Amino acid sequence: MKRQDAIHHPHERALQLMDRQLVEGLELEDRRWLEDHLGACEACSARRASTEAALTALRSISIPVPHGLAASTILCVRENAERLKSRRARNIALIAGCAVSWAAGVASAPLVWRICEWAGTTLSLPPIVWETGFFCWWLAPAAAAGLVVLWVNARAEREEMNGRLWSGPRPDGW
Amino acid sequence: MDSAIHLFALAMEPETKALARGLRRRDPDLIAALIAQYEYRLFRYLLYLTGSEDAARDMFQETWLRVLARGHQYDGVSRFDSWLFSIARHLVIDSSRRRKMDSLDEKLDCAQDGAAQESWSSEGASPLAEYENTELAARISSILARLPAVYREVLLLRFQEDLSLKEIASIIRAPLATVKSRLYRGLNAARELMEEVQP
Repeated sequence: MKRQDAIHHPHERALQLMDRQLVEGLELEDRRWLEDHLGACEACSARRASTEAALTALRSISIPVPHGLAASTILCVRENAERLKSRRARNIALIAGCAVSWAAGVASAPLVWRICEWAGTTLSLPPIVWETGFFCWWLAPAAAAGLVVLWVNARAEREEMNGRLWSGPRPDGW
Repeated sequence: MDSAIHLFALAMEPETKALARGLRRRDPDLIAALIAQYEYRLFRYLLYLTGSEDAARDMFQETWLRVLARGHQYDGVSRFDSWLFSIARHLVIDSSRRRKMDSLDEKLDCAQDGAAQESWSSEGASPLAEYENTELAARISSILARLPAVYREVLLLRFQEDLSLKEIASIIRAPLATVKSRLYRGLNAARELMEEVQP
C-alpha cells in the first residue's frame, strides 16, 4: 500500500526521503531512487536546492559574542573555584574536628561516667539526674558540631548567592 | 561508517577522560580553556534558545559555574559539548520555569493551541536581526524565532552544531524516536514558514 502511495505521489516520497536523508540518512536503494527522481523532476530538485541553501545559511549566520564575555566568566569561575576550594578545606577541618571530638568522647566516657556518678552520690541526686547530665555531656560535642555545620552551610549559600549576583566587570559596549 | 565512528571515539577517549579528571579536580585553568574554546558555540546556542542577548549572557555564566560545581558528573565517555549543551539547556528551562513557564513542551502546546507565543523569542522582530549576514540568513533567523522552541532546538543541534541523533537525545533527555519526530516536524514547520515568507 505504501509502495502504491509512493508510486502515486512520487513528489511526496521524494520530499520524505529528502527529510530522512537530512535527519538519519538513506539506504542505498532509497538514495538511488531519490537521485533518479531529482534528476527528472525540476520542482523537487529546486526544493532540495532551497533546503540546502537554507541549511548553509543557517550554518553561516555569524553571531558576534559580547566583548569580554569569556574573560568575565573566567574571572567568575576562578573566584568560585577558590571559594569551593576553601569550603572543601573547611569541611575537611570540620570532619577531622568531629572525629577527634568523638574519639575523645569515647575514650573519656568511663572516666566521665564515674565523675558524674561520684558527683550524683555526693550531692545525693537521684540517678536519673546525673545520668541525664552524662548524656548531655556526651551529646554536647555532636550538637556543637551540628550547629557549626549549619552555620557554615548557611554562610556558603549566602556566598554562593553573592557570587551568582556578581557578573564580573562589564566593559562598555554590552 | 560505524567502525569509523568507533575508531574516532577511541581516539577521542583519552582526551575526554583527561577532561573528566580535570573537571573532577575543579581545575580552573582547564575550565578557563574550555570557556575560551566553547565561547562562540555555547553563546550562539543560548542566544537561539533564549532569543535574548542578556539572558544568553547570564545563562552562559551560569552554565560554566554549573560545570565547575558539577564537573564530577561528567563521565568522560560522552562528548563534552553534548554534556555542556545539556547543562545549558536545563538552566534555560529552569529559568523559564522561574518565569512561570512550565517547560519547553508547554511552550509547544501553547504554540499549537494558537495561544500566546513564547515570550522570549517570538514577539516582534527577531532579536537576532542585527546579526544577520545575508538576506537568506535573515529569513532563516526570523523563521527560527517563529518556530516552537522544541523544534528550534533540535534543528539547531542537528544542523548547526552537527550533533548526532543520539547526542541530541542525551542533551534533551528524550528517546531517539522523539528526537527524530521533532526533527521531521521541525523541518516541515520550517518549510511551511519558509514558503510563507518567500519573497
